[in-house]
Amino acid sequence: MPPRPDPGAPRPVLRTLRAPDGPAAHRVCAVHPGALASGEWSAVAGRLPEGTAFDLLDLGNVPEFLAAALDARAPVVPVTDLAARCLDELAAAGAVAEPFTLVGWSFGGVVAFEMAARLDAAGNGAAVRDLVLLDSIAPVPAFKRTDELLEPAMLLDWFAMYLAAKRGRPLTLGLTLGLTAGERRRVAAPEDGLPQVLEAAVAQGVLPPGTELAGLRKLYAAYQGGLSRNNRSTAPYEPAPLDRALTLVKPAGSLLPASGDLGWSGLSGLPVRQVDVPGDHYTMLRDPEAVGVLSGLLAGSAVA
Amino acid sequence: MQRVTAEEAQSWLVEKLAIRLEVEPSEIDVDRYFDEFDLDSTEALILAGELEKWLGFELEATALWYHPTIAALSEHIAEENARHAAAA
Repeated sequence: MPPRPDPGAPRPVLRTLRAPDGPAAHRVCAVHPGALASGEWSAVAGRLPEGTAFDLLDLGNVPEFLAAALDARAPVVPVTDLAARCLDELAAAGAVAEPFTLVGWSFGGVVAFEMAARLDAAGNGAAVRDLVLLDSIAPVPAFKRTDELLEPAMLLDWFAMYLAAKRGRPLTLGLTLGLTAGERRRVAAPEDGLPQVLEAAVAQGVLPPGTELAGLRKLYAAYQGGLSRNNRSTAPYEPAPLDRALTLVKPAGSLLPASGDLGWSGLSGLPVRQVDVPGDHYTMLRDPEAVGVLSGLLAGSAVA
Repeated sequence: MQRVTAEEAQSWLVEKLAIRLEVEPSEIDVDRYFDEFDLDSTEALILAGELEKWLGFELEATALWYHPTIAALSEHIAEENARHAAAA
């Protein structure tokens, strides 16, 4: 039997998903917060023009950030620390010498914003040619949520969306569809809705028959742990607006579909450019049409 | 808390994995690494939740790292079960 990897051994935070044969004509750097496998970026990376380099910063491989998802009592990892770590990784790899496109998915967009802020503050803002946020919620007071303020019915919708994406099958959750705002508020806790999620998931072939509620509860706990960890990191982070253009890519099934630019206009002195794509929060990196739009954006062809 | 031997834990894991993978239990190699089975992270977590319900206690998050096969995990489960029973 070959030896197992040491679980305590550090895993690389910076990985190259795509390297051109010669010098890179353009470089893209993506910040990935976990929840989905980092390989989800492969479709976008694969559609970029020849000569484009694609580097991935996987926050899931930052040990203290991973630990904070597994244990709610673990110390909060500040957004500023994560951004500093990412910039150190890029600098060590010589990846900030030429202007690059910086993109972050979900919470990764918040870290990407802070990376750009730090480069701006250091007088090196020109290193980031474009800053692209993929359904990231802005770290502004109107959009920050502690765990207690997250509506249980909304969390169930998000979890169902996540489960469907992970299983690669659509899942319609009748539990909260068609409820009025008042009825949604009366869903006491997300855990109370898990039996209905299980029933729908098994009926629609998303989970195999015989799947037990205890198993789904474990999966939900892991999902909620990551979400809560991201919210705890975001809570104390109070960035100032940047004098740079932001592009927000918002899928049809956004985390907050009715919330405009997700608060980003509060963090830029320039108008936020919003690009709508098909798919949802968890499928936007693999939906063929969304991937086409994203690869065009990141390659720079659609950036004014 | 029920007492669980390594053999019983192994039988439980083999049966559950066989159902998930739609194969006969005899086709499950107990010395194969968990991550070599065709099991995604969602299924692994669901299986872990079902296992913990059956055992009546939670396994530590690193259990699968240090005990990466059905045979090794079953031995660990039996030891943890005895420890929990002794502490009860």
